[in-house]
Amino acid sequence: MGKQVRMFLKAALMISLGVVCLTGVASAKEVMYLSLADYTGPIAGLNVPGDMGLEDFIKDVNAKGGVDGVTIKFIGIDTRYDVARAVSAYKRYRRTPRLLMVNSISTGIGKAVAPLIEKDKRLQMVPGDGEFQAHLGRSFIWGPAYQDAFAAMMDWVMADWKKKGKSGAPVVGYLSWDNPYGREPLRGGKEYAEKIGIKLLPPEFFPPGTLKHDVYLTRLANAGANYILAGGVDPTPTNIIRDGYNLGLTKTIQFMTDYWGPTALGIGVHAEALEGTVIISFFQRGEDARNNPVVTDLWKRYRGSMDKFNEVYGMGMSWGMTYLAGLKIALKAAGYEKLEADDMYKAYQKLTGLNKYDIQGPCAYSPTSRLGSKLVKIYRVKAGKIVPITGWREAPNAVALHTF
Amino acid sequence: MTEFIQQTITGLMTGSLYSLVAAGIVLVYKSTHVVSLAHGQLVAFGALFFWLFLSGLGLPFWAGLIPAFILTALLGLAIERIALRPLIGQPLIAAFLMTFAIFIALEGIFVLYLKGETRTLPHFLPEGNFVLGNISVPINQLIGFCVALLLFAAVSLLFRYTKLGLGMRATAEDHRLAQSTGIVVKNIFSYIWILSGIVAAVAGIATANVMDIYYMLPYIGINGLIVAICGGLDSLTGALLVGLLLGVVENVGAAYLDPLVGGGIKDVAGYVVLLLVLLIRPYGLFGLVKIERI
Repeated sequence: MGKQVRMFLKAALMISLGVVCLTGVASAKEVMYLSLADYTGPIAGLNVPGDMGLEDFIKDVNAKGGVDGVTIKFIGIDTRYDVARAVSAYKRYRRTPRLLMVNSISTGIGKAVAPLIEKDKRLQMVPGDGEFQAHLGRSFIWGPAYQDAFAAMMDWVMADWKKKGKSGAPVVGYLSWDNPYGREPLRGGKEYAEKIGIKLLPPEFFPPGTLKHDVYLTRLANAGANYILAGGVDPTPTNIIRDGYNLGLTKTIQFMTDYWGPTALGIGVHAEALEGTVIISFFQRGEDARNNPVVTDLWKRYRGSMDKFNEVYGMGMSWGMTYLAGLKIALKAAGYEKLEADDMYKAYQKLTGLNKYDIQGPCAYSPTSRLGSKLVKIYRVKAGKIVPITGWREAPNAVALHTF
Repeated sequence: MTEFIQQTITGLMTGSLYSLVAAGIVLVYKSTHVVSLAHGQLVAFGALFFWLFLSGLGLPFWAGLIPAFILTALLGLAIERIALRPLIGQPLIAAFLMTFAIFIALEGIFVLYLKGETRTLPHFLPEGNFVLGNISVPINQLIGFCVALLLFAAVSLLFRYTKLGLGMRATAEDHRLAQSTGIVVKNIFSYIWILSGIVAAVAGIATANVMDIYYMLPYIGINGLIVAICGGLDSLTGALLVGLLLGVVENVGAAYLDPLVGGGIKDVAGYVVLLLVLLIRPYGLFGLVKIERI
């Protein structure tokens, strides 16, 4: 009996010590960043390097003492691109003190989490959902909205068509994932294409994870497509273009991709098929990113050799830069003790013009804008490298053309 | 008409991959009466092992192929010995659920290894397209198609003309009866999982050669399962023919019906075929109809 009592007392002592230690840790000045990301599913190729950039940026900030002694804690959740899993994860963390930012890395997840974010007076970042620019709230887009980028791509198509001396209207095919992300660019983008005289074929949609795309590509080719915009997150666009290449379509049709087109990931596996592919981006890619000292310096310090460098890393850094700038403003306004997510929401609206070392264009967040920036750049795959073919240019406002 | 022929041929090429995947499921079912949900993972790991030997270690084609077969066969054997053998004598549903658990466990390893990236097999087959008029077929897919036909022929011959095949057929017929004639049924189970592993490796390599090694690759096992069930679960001929049929139905259906219904035909075609077959012939199109006395 005495032995059992001693064991019980020992266990109680250990638990008490554990609680004391945990309380001690919790009492450190800390703010939270929650990433609802996909580390093992269809968009892991984007999320893994993106959050690597963000994590390294946060590590760097913390190593320098944080912001006035306040350190940032990164919480990464693997949603596997599953909306239900992401919503459940958010609900698990929504009571976390000083959870100042939720990065919902998926259009579907962003839409699902948005009502909870509004209710909790918090804020979230979302990839490119133009609806959040049309209806201003607490959801901030990473760059220009998807439809704005689509419109900018259509401008490039028109210019390219004229440059080639072709007459009549260019015929453009669009195929992407059958989900909110895949459909978003057309909500305003379609109206813009029609407005500038482009013939847009009926879009093709397929589920994420589809292994072959021949049937969709053949249909677009038979319908007379001169250009095909392949959506989906890399490696999906790479795989689409791979299939187009195998069908011999890349010889006659110009393939293009949106923000999530080939990165180092796709180029590394199908450089030959991707040759000539045009990519629109709101963040630096390929050689641009490799030549940005701010990006490469952080990579080398935390990741070593540049062999496995992926340019999405820089985009992750830019999330960190925005968070850091917002945190500084929020801390100044409210102080650490009274700091709430609502302060961060107010701070984000004051980030207009924030410089992100050319990783992307200047921040455009303001009381009337939820766009991370208004600028896009167009790249082309040349000799196995992603090189810019334009400078930064403002994307048209296609959100305004659609009734949400 | 040209489009129809093109879509049919593309469907046959894809369908041959489904047939290959289904062959492994049928092999296991024929002897053990276990419907293996884990087979998609064997397919994916077969491709991954091959990639590791070719790209990771830089081995030439044949030197990479044989160890990939061996490793996948060993994986199959490990599944049988560690997870399924202790369940002999238990209800079949336990073994069925165990294969599901194996699928989930192996998927964890697979996706954690890939981290969302794609692995591409180096070009080990001739490239380019075989063109006949307006019809074009990638040569590597054509070779994959021929390999599938040859593999089915080889497995059928093994079943029909070898002592091992005879043992497998006897085991498939009745475990106790086979045991009473001196066949060690447990050994037959091991051999069948080894054979299934090798067939899975062939399927994985053929599939990855066309579609790369991607986080979704194991899910081709679902198509394989649909084909195996529709074909009759114990019929290799059924697996071959229904696989080809499914490929054609998916492609031709998507080509002609997608514009009418707004897309998605390719992804539901298999399930519609499964539903129809099960309603009309619950034992599958080529399955053995068992008459049980009540």
